[in-house]
Amino acid sequence: MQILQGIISGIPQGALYGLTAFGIALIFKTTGVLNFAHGNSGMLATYVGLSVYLLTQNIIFSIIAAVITGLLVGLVVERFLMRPLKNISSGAMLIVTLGLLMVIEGIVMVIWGVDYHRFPEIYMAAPIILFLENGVLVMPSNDIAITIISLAVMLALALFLRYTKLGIAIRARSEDEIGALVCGIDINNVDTIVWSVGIATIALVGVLAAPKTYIHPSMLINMQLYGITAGVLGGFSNLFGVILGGLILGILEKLVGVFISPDYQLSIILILIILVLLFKPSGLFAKEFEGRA
Amino acid sequence: MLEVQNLEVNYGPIKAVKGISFSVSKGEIVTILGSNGAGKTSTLFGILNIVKSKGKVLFNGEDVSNKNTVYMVKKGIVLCPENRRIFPGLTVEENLKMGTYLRGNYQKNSKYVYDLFPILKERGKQKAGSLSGGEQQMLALGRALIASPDLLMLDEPSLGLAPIIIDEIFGVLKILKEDGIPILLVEQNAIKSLKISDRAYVLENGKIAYSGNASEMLKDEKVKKAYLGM
Amino acid sequence: MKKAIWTFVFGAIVGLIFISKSFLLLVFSNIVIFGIAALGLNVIFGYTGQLSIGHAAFMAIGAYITAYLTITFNIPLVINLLLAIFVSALFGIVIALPALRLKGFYLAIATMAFGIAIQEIIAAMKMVGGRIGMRDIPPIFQSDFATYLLNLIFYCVLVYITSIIVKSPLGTQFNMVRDSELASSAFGVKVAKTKLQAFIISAIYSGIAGFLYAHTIGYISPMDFGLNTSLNLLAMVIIGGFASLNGGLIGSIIITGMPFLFSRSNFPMTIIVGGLMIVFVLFFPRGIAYGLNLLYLKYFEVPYVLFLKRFWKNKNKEGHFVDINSVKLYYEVAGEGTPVLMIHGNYGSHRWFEKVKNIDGFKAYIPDLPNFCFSDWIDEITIDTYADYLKEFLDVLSLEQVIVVGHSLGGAVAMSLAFRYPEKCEKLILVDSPSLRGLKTPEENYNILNLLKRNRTLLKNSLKAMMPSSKDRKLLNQLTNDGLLMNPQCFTENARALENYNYEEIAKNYRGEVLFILGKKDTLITENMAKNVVANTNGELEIVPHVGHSIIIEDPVLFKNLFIEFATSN
Repeated sequence: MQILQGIISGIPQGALYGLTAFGIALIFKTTGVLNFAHGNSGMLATYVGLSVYLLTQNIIFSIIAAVITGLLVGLVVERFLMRPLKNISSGAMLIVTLGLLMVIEGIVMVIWGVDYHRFPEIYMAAPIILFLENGVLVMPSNDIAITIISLAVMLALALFLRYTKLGIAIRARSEDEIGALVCGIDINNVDTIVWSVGIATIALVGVLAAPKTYIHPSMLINMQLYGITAGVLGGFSNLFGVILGGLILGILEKLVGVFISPDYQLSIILILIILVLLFKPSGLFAKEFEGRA
Repeated sequence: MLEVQNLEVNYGPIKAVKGISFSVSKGEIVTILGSNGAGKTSTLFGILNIVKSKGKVLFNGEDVSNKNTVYMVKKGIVLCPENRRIFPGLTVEENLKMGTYLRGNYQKNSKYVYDLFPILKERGKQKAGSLSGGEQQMLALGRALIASPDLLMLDEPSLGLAPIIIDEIFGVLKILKEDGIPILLVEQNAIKSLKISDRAYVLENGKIAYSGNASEMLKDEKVKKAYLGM
Repeated sequence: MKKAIWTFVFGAIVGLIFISKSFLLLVFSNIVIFGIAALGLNVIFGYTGQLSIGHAAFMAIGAYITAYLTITFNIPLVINLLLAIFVSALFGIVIALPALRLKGFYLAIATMAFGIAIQEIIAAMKMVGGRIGMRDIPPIFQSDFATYLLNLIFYCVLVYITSIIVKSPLGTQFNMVRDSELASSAFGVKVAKTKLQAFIISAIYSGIAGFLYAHTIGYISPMDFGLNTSLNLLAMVIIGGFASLNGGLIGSIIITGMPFLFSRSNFPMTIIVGGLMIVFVLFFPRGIAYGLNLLYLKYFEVPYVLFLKRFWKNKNKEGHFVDINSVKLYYEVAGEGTPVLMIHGNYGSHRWFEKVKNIDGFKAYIPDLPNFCFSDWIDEITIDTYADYLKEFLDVLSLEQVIVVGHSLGGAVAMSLAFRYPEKCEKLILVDSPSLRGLKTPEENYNILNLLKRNRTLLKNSLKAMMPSSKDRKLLNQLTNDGLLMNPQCFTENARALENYNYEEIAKNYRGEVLFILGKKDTLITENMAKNVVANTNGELEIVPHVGHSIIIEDPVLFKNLFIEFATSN
């Protein structure tokens, strides 16, 4: 019963990890940049969402504002940082995104300070409780909402990539830049869209996760680490694998919390991450791997 | 219809193309011959501005020198690049659809392509990466043709293919010529390409070393020896 | 050694100046401690190329071990230090494991996870105070100045040790692994072992930094060693100087010191640090240390060099001047007999033949080429122009036919002379000269060549490398002074001239005998280049095992013997 409860409580968290991983993987696959500033970009958008909420007291407005901010942050980062730096080495790009991580954190501290802020749940209702033969399962209603929203967004994006002309063009660009160019696909345009959508997803993750993590400058750092790991678990080349990787990680985390210790929950997951990187770096589902030394 | 004047392509300090001029007229197949590193691919990339280039490019009388690649494709200059550059993770159909990203109607033109390469229709739902080398080259050619190009540029379509497939590809090029599609062909395979071409240029170290009528070049022993290594 | 001592002296003076300001001394201590940790990161990141964004964890390990043991069990500091070193090394091995198998951002993720994991584990451990941390860690010395000095000594010793490591074969292996793992393993470097060693050293440094931090600050918490600290360390390395000894300290001065400058405002440092990190990696990837070093090399010796050039140019000369098209060439003559023309190399002068000019039965004519030493300067800098001047030189002195000896660049000039005026040249001796196709100087080296004209030490070291087995310091000094007199343009343009000739065609014009003498230890001219020349001129090749680029200085007796044997044969 404990296991079942662990799995059920892990799913909403896992869905958020999946959505985070989805955004990271989308940008990474398409443009080749692993964005270490991903979490903080979403954190910045979440703060905008917070401000809108404080002004309007309307959670829906606030989420929309955060997502739009995410789109804009993605656009600005791509247009003014990534595009001019297209040809630098991947090592230098890594440092640039780490620098961006710090700059964004600083900007947020200047505007909003370092205090923790509360953020409301998007759907407040009585939890759903299932009575089974040998116990009860509790599902907070907000968790269900989070799960549904995350999965729906991922499904919508997957469908978009699978079936629309622009979606296919994004995949085409991720597979072969020259090939995409000679087809007349505007690479810059595609990259802007990908960055915008990618950051918008983490912005959404930010507002969805905010009721639990509270809003503060490092609220999404761990989320990002989990997201990248989910990406690694799922193998970056496979977007569905990435989502699955997120869910596995979420469930695993809760099970560790239940069976070992909630104090060491994060550490153990992080160590697991290192182990996964060590022994299954190509992910659970993908075959090839380029990051091996 | 395509007129190139003093085209220069530089990669940093390295000069790949050092001011060359040539032209392609309606209904013509023009070949640019040259060994590896002579600057053939750079010339094609320079025309399309995939890499930065200097010099003048006129297409159908319009000065398109500094237009970006997207504009060039829209105007109808379509490149079938070296090493095919298809999208291996996309299906054959999706690859062809991408060919019509800017111009050409997929429903209308796909019939033309499938008639030329029936195998592509058979494999429509397969991942392009699972095709054989020859089939991938056909797909690359099909992806270019489906855009109904006003000028088709082909970069080494015979590279790394079995002789029988090469014959098939060159056979298709003949058909394309009969259909009135002007072609700028870049090749190392001199005999095969001269046989189907009207005119040819020989590129050496980024400069045009020789130019002339293709059939005459095939007959001229001196030219063959000096430039074509025969 | 020098660097470490100077750093210590300078650091101690700064400390003495502010000896009464204990707050400032604390800031200095902080700077030095983070300088140590950054030095450790530089070993693994700068020298070995393995990115770590969890390095603060090692500091945490060092700090917590000593704090816990001191407070709880009152264990002596030295033992704590050794334990801190030992455990840091152990964890260094642990985090090296992923590095053995991972590269690029996969390694970045793993180290980031490691850093946060250590922080979280400590935060969860009640016995070391959890998230609150530990207070009242006893200081090593009561005096802030003594504490600062101790930190400084640790830093300087570690810099010294690092300088030894960097210069050792191990350091070379570090760099090889950084530049290309594939290539280094092809050279027999054990990549995994090398990385492991680098990680252990790096971890130990940071562990020591943590040890010092705990006793200097007196209060630690997991927050002190979080992701931000790791990123700051990274920024110190990038801003201060990638792969440089004092780079980490320079970075630490900026990044650790800066907050105290801005302490009144609440402006977050992360904006500045992150921004600087981006700017530096894009525009100054070698950091401030490199820039300072460059400034030093460029300008520090300039007044001295200017003075020296003036003095040296006007010294008494034993030779004569000859006027060729109103360009005065300086030359010296030695001995009596068959005329020999000796042509010196790049950065050279007549003096290079000092030890071999007196050969029985031969009369040596030794000019300074135009643009060199005491001769006048000309604008056209090509090998053929130099040869043309020498042709005129021979005509003016009415020398019908000579034996030509050319060293290095002089060898290229000799070839040009012999191949284009074969009637002038009876026999040709090339000493470590470039091939018929010229000598390519890597583009990135031109900046260094440009520095030579302003920096005598650098020029001297470069010339020293061209005569590895010579011990004659006086001659080296004189040659260096001669070299400085060269037309400043030539410091780079001679190298260009050496790239831009090809004598493979005209070599066939020459029917005289050719001897090519090559020093086995020559780092500039390879055996293939020599073979290229002999093959195209029907010459013979003499390879001398124990000398470098300049047999005429390194083993003059042997050269004279080879010369006589060749010149007198038929």
